[in-house]
Amino acid sequence: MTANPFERHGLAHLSASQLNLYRASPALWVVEYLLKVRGSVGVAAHCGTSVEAGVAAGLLDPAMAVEDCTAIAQKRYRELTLLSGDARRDEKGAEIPGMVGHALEALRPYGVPSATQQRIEVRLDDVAVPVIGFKDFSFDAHGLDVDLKTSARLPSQMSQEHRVQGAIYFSASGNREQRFCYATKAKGTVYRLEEPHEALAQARRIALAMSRLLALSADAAEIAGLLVPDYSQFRWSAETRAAGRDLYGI
Amino acid sequence: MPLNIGSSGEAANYLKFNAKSGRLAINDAEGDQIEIANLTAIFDLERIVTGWLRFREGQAPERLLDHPNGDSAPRPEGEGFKRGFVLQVYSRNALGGVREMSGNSLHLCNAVNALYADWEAGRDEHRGQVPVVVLDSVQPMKDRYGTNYRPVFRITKWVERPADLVEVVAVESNVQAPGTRTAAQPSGQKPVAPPSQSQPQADPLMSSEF
Repeated sequence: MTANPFERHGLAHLSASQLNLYRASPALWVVEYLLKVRGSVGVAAHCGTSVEAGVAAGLLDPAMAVEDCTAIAQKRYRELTLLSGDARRDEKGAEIPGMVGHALEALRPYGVPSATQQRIEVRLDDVAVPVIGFKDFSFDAHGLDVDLKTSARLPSQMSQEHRVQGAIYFSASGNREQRFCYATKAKGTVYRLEEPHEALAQARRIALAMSRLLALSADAAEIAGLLVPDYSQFRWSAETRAAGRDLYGI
Repeated sequence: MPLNIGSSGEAANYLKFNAKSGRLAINDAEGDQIEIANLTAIFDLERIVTGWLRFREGQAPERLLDHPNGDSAPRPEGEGFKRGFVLQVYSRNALGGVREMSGNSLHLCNAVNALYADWEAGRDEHRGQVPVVVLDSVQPMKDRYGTNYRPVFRITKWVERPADLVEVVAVESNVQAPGTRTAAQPSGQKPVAPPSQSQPQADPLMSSEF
């Protein structure tokens, strides 16, 4: 048996979203990453992916009209949500033009990105597997990276989760400055990750806690016996909730 | 999914429910309160915001709102924070336009939770529409704090979203999460300007903090 507690559970790497999920709901993390039961992706996530496609096109081609960038995003959204029965599909789709426009307004002054969706990988001290991720937009000329987030409401500051994500990218990119662009249908703004080392310490702390839990047993069911699910959290989907009820018995 | 919520507050234009008297009031331009006898208005439940709220006499309401993705905000440090909500309510005739209604009192939150459940049950049949809500009555609730009143809201019909409610009203936190050690000010993080195109920064590795 391997001594690597992650590998004994088939985890070759971690990600910022895994770390954030573990912190928020270890019980759901067990369902998603040890049982490999993933919930369906909601229209809000598809909206974010689609907006990013339109914004990437508009940044890589500064002459492209915002309307054309929006059309790219809307086409992507239609593709991704073709079979979605979510009642909010049209309503969410209607937010795309504003989101694309405000993101481009905020990010076009940065110039053309040197890379998009650049894969990163970083090792955290004493954590047996690497943390990987993908940076949305790299701007080598400025020595910084920008991650795009779409949201129904403009946050007044970076969330704890985004700070953890930014810290991972910060560390993996040779301590480059990390910025997060938030776009809603009505506004857009950019925040800088402050105190990245503190957020990085949080990421490491989560990964170590995860490692210690996994080291207790090679049996996911045995690990589940240490946890109690809270289904009131929005993160649980119908699929993961069903799997959770089987696993946890409640 | 029910709302994660638990004294109404005072925003620029507010609608306030006084649980002690069981009455609704709005503020006028001079800041005086005007009682609303019969309320029929659109409640924008689709955009309701929840979080931790604290109301203190003579002070602006303090809020630490839940994350837009639905994550509950951590309880802020300090006494008196309770789960609550912030909601936009609209009536041209009764309220003079859009007003903010917020609260964290038990009875008001229970009433809004019940209303929200009704809205959730009906929204699929009324896509793109918003509910018209009437204050049916107020129920006296006796507890160890004496008699307080719980409003009873009811959805009477669904209508197209009025133009005055199209624009999303920014509702933001003004209290920091506990343990946050960022440079963020209580009013939020300061946005950053784009970097200068003419003066790219030096190699960040050379200027690393390490």
